[in-house]
Amino acid sequence: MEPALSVESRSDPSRARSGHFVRGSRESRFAPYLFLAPFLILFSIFTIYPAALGIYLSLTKWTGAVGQEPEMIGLANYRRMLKDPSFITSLTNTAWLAIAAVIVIVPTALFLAMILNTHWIRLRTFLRTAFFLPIGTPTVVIAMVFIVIYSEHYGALNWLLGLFGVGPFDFTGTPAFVKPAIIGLLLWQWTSVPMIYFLAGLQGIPPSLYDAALVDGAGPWASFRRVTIPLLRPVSLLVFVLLVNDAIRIFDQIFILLFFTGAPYQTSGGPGEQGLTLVLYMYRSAFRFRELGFGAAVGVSIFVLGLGIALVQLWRFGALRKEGGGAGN
Amino acid sequence: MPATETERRPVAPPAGSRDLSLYRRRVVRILIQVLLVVAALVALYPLIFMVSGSFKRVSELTSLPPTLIPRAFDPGGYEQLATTGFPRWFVNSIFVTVLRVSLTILVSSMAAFAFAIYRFPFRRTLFIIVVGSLLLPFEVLYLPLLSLMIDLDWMNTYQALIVPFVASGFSVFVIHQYMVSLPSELIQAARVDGASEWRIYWNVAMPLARPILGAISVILFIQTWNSFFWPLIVLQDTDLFVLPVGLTALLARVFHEQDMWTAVLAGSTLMTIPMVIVFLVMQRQLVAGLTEGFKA
Repeated sequence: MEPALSVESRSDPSRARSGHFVRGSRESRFAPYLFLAPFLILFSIFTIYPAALGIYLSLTKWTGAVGQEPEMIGLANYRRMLKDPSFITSLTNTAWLAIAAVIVIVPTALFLAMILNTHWIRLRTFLRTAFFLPIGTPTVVIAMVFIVIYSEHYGALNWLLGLFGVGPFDFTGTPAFVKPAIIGLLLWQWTSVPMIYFLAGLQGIPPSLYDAALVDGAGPWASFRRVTIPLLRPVSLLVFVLLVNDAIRIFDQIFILLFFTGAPYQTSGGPGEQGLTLVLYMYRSAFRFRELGFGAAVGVSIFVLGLGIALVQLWRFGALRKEGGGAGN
Repeated sequence: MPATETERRPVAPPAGSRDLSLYRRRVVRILIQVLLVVAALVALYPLIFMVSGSFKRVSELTSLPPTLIPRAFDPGGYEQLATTGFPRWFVNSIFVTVLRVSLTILVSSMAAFAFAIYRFPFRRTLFIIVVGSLLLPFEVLYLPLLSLMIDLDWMNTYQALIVPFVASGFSVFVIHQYMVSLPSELIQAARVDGASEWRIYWNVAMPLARPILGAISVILFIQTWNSFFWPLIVLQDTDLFVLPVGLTALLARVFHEQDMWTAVLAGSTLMTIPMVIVFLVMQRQLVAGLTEGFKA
């Protein structure tokens, strides 16, 4: 009881009021741990432990069958993975999708945000809602609807192209069309959030800067390049980070969109493996070929890749944010 | 011409070209306006198509040109849907989502409160670990988590869909950023008034943090309602399916029975409704939350 008493004695109100506001009563000394306990326990069991376990499993042969214990095989999974052409395909496909998503989505989102930010646009609420709604639409649903829209025989897209005498194409069944089809879906689904960020970024630019540019004789294009672009830099980098992260982890949309194509049982990554991404490759290894240890090795590789890209981004982001923030103030 | 906004009236262009440039600007604006309305309709088209398709007969759905409004309203898709596990899956999804979102908010806000209000040993280290977990794509954890689920005998259970996600580093981080900005006088005042630490958390900090809690709830709701990969690998019992997995099971049946298409679209429509409602109601908070997270 002795220590408790001494803690108690420190909790006189005058001290609590004047001094640091947390070193108070006995209660507040234990409180942070009590508040943290549920989180830390769950976090350790379901995030820290699996992360370590994942590294261990990646070094084993493990089929997930009842009674089959993971069997240590060293780096064999990684060696096999690097020699597997499908892994290389999934890597390049993922990189392709990430780059294409950025190239297609960032300008679209920026354009829409700039227009929505003007004072003269009509039907603003309708337009905003229409462009925001994809956030409120389930991913699986979007992908299913796009299967119909992309359909060779009764899809709206082919009907539209047919009006111009083009097509019909089997968008999800022809290797050359698979990636553009995926990008089309992502353009629909992934433009909203960057647009929101750009809108917020644009609203943070003081109008006086544009007036100053105008006084200096800058036309719309010059003030776009000299004012808008530099001041949106922090937001653009954030958008870039988010898009690349989403692209590295993409699974659901492609799994559903290519459900009926390619080799049987929906996990082949579509015709010619054109839609095989890293996570799809992991899924296929683990659940179609029942090689969970190998899948775990793919998982660790995705993590290392993601971490590498994240660190590069953070480094650039951190460096550039200071610069952008300085210009903003 | 995206930067037309920057042209402001007060500074007049050279007088001679004025009429012409005004005229040109008006034409450009009208063109952009039309372009944007078309783009908005394109953005809405998949949703309109989905709702209208869910009321079509399969023969109409699979014929050209695609009709915007069904020629004959046929609720057959919905009737067929009722004979599948869909109603059960819907309830499952709501149950899992509500529980997972509320538990995540509770556990994460408690942790965020601790990080924001107290100074204690290892605070920085712990916080860095939590923030570092944001870099960890959850996909990577799926296989080891699966192994953990097998060991815990949690395969095919609801808790497998809920418990592993409750400790959300993302939520802790964002709520923490909000709570550190709360005025410390309020907390001190409460403490002087003899409020327990729990009361300070529950009756002072939580109500003040309501805007960010709202935004995080929407984001978590969308995540959970969408969650597909994990339920796909831990659930085998069709009775326990959540909507994304159940709907995919229906989609698999389309392969053999084209008739299922309207049922799939009907299911898609019903699955979209709660999410759109939550989104529209919380739109303002969501947008504020997204941008708040950015400022942090």
